[in-house]
Amino acid sequence: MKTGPTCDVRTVPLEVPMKTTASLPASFLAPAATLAFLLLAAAAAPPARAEEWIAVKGARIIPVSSPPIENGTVLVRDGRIEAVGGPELEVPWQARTLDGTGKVVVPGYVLAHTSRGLDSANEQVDTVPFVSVLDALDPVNAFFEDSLRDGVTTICVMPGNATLIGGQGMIVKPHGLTVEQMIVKRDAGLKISMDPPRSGSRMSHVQKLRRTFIELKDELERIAEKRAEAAEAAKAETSGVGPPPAPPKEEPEVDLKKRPLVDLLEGRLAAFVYCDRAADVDRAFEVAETFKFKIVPVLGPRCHKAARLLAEKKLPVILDPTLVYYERDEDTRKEKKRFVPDLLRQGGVATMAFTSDPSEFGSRYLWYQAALAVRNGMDEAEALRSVTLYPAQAIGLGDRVGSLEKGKDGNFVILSGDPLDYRTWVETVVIEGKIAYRREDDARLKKVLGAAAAAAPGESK
Amino acid sequence: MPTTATRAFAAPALLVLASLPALAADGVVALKARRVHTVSGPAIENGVVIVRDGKIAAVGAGLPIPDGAFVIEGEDLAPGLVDAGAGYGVSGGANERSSEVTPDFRIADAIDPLDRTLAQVMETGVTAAYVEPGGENVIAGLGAVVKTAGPPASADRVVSDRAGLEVTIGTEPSAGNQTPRGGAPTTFYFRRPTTRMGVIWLLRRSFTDALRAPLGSPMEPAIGAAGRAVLEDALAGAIPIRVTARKSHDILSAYRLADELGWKRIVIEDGVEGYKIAPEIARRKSPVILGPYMFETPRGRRAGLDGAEPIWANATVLDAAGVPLAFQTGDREEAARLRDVATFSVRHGLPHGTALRALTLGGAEILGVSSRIGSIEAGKDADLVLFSGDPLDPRSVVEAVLVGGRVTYRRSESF
Repeated sequence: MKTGPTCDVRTVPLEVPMKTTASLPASFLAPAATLAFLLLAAAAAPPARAEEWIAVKGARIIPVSSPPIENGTVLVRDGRIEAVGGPELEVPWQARTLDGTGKVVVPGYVLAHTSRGLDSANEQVDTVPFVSVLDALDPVNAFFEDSLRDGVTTICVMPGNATLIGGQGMIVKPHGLTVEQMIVKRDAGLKISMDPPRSGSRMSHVQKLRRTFIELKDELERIAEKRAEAAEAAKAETSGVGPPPAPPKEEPEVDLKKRPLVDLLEGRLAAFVYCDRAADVDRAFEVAETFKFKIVPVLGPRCHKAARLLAEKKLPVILDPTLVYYERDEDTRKEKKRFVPDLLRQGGVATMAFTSDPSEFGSRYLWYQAALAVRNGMDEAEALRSVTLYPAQAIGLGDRVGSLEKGKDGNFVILSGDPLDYRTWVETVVIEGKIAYRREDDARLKKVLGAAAAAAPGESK
Repeated sequence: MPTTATRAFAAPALLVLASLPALAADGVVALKARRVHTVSGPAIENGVVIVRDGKIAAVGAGLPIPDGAFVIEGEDLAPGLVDAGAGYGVSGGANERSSEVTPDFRIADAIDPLDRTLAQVMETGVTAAYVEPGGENVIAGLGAVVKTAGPPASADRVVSDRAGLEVTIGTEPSAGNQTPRGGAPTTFYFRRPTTRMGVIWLLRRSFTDALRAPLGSPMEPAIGAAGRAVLEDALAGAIPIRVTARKSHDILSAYRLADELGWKRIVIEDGVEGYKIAPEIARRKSPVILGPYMFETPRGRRAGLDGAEPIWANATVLDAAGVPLAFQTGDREEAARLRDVATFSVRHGLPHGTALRALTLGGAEILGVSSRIGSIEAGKDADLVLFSGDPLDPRSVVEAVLVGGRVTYRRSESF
């Protein structure tokens, strides 16, 4: 019988004797052995590999993709959502069941773009498609611990915005001892920034990007020609005519350094393109369409002026953490408050993912970003989707995370109250069917963030 | 606190008033709200606030609306928020670099009433701010309480131009200073203290020898007659001494100096490590003004600022010990986030009522201007904010702001 690391002795009573026998004195072994025998008999009935079930019952469930369910149930089998329903939904006897009475369950929040959790986000050289955040991610970086505490279950970690082609990003969960254990998707995308470094101009920056692809295409053509010649020669040899056969040559290949760019051109990778201003959006699409690669726009606040252009492309977009900014009139120097998501929506952009900024004490939370959107007129359900389903769709994981639906990854967060209420705390985080965080075990929360914050459920209000 | 703001501008102010398309400038405004958070007393359900001649004329449930009154209706009405320590509103720098002891320098002389940040924070519900001289001087000068809106030439814009004497204990005044090498140590542009010891020595010297030395004698720091008058007022308790101190031992140094020099009224600013010595702060009866710094994590952006160790429940711990609190933004970057300081204090355990009080009346009391602002009471300035819900909920939007009875912001008209 397989014993999963998260199986809890309190809720899976059959495992108690199994676990305790080893540490018990010999005199206790006789009855224990009897129990063990019974257990073995019981274990013989199910299939060889036991299924792992976890459920939450009695909570207000906000699936995000469908209307909320009062007194609802979420059932997860072997790390995947098996069912989402009302109180009538049957929970198998072997499931570990969490009591959700008075609580609210939401899908884990999804952070679609960040450069946190790395030692250094930007390489000094401007074109480094071959580097990957895989090699810089620090599993014990406090950012991941904070993410769990804040209910974030999926994080797309990308190189920073200061490098032209900054390297490859990765989608991870904030849970695991090694980078490998954290990986949700290894090849999440390639980072490109349209924002030139302070010393450069947009002309040279964009042209450098184009040239990279022009040269790569030339190289690919040359390789194709060489391969064709080799094939021709091989054909000639077998047919017995022509010159004597040449000694076998190495197969021509693109330099390892450029392989991610080939993946991009051949559609295996998408480019996460950071645009600082509206003009960058235009150029990003021009380059992407010329060289035929997929892009995921990551937009600075001033990009709202490219709203209609973005709307035509019908792509989900990722927004910079700055959702509200003051736009200055160049002539009068008068400033006008701008709420970016609203301006983009007016232009026709339908799907926007909010991101968080851990250096700001409010904006470090995705729920706060959603609450800020509500303050600025956005509907609550839409605001919640902007930190769950939409970011999932933006990073190409719309079929796996971001909502509570059958077949998706078994990620959910149990909250003490309404997701956008500033007094609500994350109580339990379940990632792929395993409990990754429990507020009562969060020593740091008690010590640093205040005893009241770590008070028993319901007391924080 | 008596205000010394000049009355000379009163006449032009009237002209400005006349030229503005003011909503009920001299008429009557009636505000009807689901909840009126008076702060000085319990909240009033379905309350009405009558505003006349820039002042609150009446507060109560179901008051009759006077004929011809301009009526505004909404959910939650609160007193205008008070930013008890701000860096905005100042034209140019706020750190005087010619000397590190400048007690008679007044920030009121550098305030631009039309500063864009003042206008922006007004739209977030802040109607008064204590604008302070920068923290790089040991004794930086006098801070002022200003309204965030209103006719720029009006004397009413400055509620008090000597609401506090700014003192900094910590690394800021000594940061970047170098010991004299060859040059004369009395050079105008020479900044001397290079350690905390030096900073505190300068403070001690300013309040003792320098204060008593004959005018014009070669005493360092040289403090003129006007500066001495300010120091004397501070010693007499007429002006509170506002000590910016973040580490707990810096706060304790302020108390040691108070004992030694006879400081009567001390206000601790920032007090990031206040939680470590909360009973002592309570015993000293010195209020603490808390800002965004307390939400910095040790790995945060400005971590290492004096090496203080923040905890997010700082306000909760200080309040539980009985320390009077107010909130501040402290620097330009966080200017629009005063409400968030209160919101996140509540998230980390501070009672809601205490937070709302610290955001309004608490600040006004610490600044010595509570006879005019800070609560919804008859006779006070009509500085009011109408929210769409709980003032501390980040989802709540500011619907309207009144400063001195004048509607200075309405959301419905800003888009």
